[in-house]
Amino acid sequence: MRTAFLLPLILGAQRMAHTGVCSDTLGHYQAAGYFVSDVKIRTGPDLIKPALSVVAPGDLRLQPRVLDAGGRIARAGLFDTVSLSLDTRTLANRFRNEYDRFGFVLVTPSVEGCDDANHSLQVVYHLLSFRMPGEAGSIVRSLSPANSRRILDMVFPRLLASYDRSHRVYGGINTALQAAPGGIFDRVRLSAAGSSAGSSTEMSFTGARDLAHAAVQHVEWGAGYSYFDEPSDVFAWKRSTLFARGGAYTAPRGASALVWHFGAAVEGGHEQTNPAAGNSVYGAIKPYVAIEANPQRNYLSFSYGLQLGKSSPGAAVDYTKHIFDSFYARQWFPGEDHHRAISLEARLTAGISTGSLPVPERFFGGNGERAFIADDSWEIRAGPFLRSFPANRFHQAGAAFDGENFVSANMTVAYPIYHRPLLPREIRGDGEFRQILDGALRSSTKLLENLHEKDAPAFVAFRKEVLGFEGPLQELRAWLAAIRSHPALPGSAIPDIDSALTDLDSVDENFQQMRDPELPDPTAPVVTVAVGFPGVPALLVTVAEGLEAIEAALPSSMNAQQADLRVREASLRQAVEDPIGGFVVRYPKLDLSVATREAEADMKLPTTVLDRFLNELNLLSASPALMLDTARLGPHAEGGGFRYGIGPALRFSLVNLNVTLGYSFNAGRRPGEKGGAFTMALSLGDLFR
Amino acid sequence: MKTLCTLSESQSNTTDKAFTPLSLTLAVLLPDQSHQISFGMTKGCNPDNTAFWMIDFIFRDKVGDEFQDRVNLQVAVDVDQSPAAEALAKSGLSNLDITLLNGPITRRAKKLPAGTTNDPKTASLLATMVDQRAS
Repeated sequence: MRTAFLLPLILGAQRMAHTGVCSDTLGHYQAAGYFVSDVKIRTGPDLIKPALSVVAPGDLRLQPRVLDAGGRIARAGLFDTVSLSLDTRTLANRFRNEYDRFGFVLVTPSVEGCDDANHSLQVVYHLLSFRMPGEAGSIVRSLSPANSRRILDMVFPRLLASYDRSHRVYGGINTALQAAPGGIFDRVRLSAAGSSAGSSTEMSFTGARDLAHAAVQHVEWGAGYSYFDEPSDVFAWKRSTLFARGGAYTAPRGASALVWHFGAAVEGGHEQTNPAAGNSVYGAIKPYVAIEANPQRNYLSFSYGLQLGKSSPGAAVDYTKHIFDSFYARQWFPGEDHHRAISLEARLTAGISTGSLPVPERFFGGNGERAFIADDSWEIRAGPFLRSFPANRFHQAGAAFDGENFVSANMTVAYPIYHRPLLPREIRGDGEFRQILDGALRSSTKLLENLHEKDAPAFVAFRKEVLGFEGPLQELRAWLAAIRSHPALPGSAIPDIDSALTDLDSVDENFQQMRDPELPDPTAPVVTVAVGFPGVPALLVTVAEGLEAIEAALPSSMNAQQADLRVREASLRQAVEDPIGGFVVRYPKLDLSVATREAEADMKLPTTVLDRFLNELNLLSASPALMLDTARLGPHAEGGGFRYGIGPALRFSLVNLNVTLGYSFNAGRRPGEKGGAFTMALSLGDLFR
Repeated sequence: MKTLCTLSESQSNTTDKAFTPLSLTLAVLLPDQSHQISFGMTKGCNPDNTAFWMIDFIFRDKVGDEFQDRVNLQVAVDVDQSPAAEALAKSGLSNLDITLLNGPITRRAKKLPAGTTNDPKTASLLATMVDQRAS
């Protein structure tokens, strides 16, 4: 199961409303000759500053006032609305090169501190931005990454602090460092956490590659060492392990963005449990396969993991575990305001085992999750999750650690009672903005259609037909050159011939472009030569018109050449303008459906992203939530059976970072058990699910 | 009612609809991992407090480890000055508009001497594109 989808948040200036006593229109301050006394850029946390470093003061047209030698205000310091607008655009556009995956920046300017006596004001640019940085030297796939943990570790060196009854108060750090980009191992991941009850340490070297245009889009690998001392109510479990792992996922396919994940880990070391005395061998091979998809508003995934385990010396496999983990999530919008959504997350996990299962490898759980492969970007839950029990304290009652199989189901439903939309009202409420943005999206789709026309057989055939004129026009050029030196040619005809030769140069230039596979818009030379534009005739027609002018300039003694010119002129005109077979008539009828489909596929992602941003995303929200859990350990039913947890929670969300605090009651509490457990969960939601 | 460039609606001293200048840029990596699309939308203020829009569209190719601009379109639309321009901005460019931009207009622009600020032929070609929306 994937950790979650990540959109690291860089929160810029949240205060998009303007303050100050500048109550007139912006045009008024320009007309009244106000000068700029200061220019400021207001942003939020330090994370945004690297982006601002690309904006040099000289990039902004509006500058604080400067005084010339005579103490007069130089013109550069005068306020004007167009410069204000263009500087706003400069700031927004400069930011876009700072990410390669997804980014968004909104800049709104304001004027403050208007001094009517001195005719001065301050210009302030407010910056609100989000960025999803790609990893240095590589790219990650679109908007459904399974590698969110890797990115998360790079963006937020995380300080961990939490509490549960088993671990008590514990804290630590979890971070990743970039090392030797492009090398086999280009990152080092470090994590360490501890409390009076237990500790864990892990260090790993990892590498990854993204493979554009390949069926397998991403591969990753890693090796390292881990140690943990995991507390429970009846035992302490220690394990020291060396591990190596690898994984990969495919490119998204189809309208549901279906992605396959697969990988494996090899682990070896020793472990120790109390009351068991001494160390025992630990070894495991863990292959897995998973699939995830995003049909419509739904997200679902299914994972299967196999563990071939060893707990004794020798080569034989002592036990096997089979893990099945499925996840489903979706949002519903009960009202017209899509900033308020009912969110549902449901998970069904099960495990079975065969062979002689050592105590720590048996299934047990609680409100802490156990991952099938630690440190893997694709997370598979490997044990029962029951939030009404503290971590590691849900085990077989009456038959301790008899858990040879399990099943657990969990559901969390939340609905915001408070929300603050991400985008300011100026954008959300401006119908004109949306109309023009939709126009820009349509323009982009049309542009991409043009790019993809090179893949449409009908266009390729059409272009080939146009290129068929290259030979005849070369021959025409030679013929015109010969005419130009004809002894009977009057001097007045020479400019017409030179003009026609220039037109042929333009045609040649377009023929060359037609053969350029890297041409940004393959339609441009074809249409320019053979079809033309409203008010701009096709170049072939322009050449024909030139031939007509030459013909008129020739003397009657050159009637043979005149006749030749008429034939050539008619041929060119017919090719373009024939009402049945002319290029002008046929070009709009070409079957370019391939290009249309490709362009729409390209635009699906940006359009979806934009729609979510405009209509759904919240900057802040608070949502009551309901937690429902059930789990069962087997095989012994006596004293076991299904256990239940139910409880309220409150989820605070900062864009897609969710913190859920709650208490889950132990429904059907049994002697010796607590009434429930506090739970705290940190998760990242998929913004574009 | 016309739009009026001010700081916020509450600060408008008239009954005209107020608007605030802004610029929004969005960039997304396409699923093929080799192309990036960047949109920029800027709503700006004319000195007479009317609005103009600027639309930036950039299509980028990944060449080696770097993204390079392959198509860079910048369109300025003076919404309040021209209904045809407004219609163009709201309807978007057609395939033929884009072909015109990428073909004759680009070719013409490339041949202009450095520092050229006014070229009637280029302006005429651009006007052709806008004028089609006038009808």
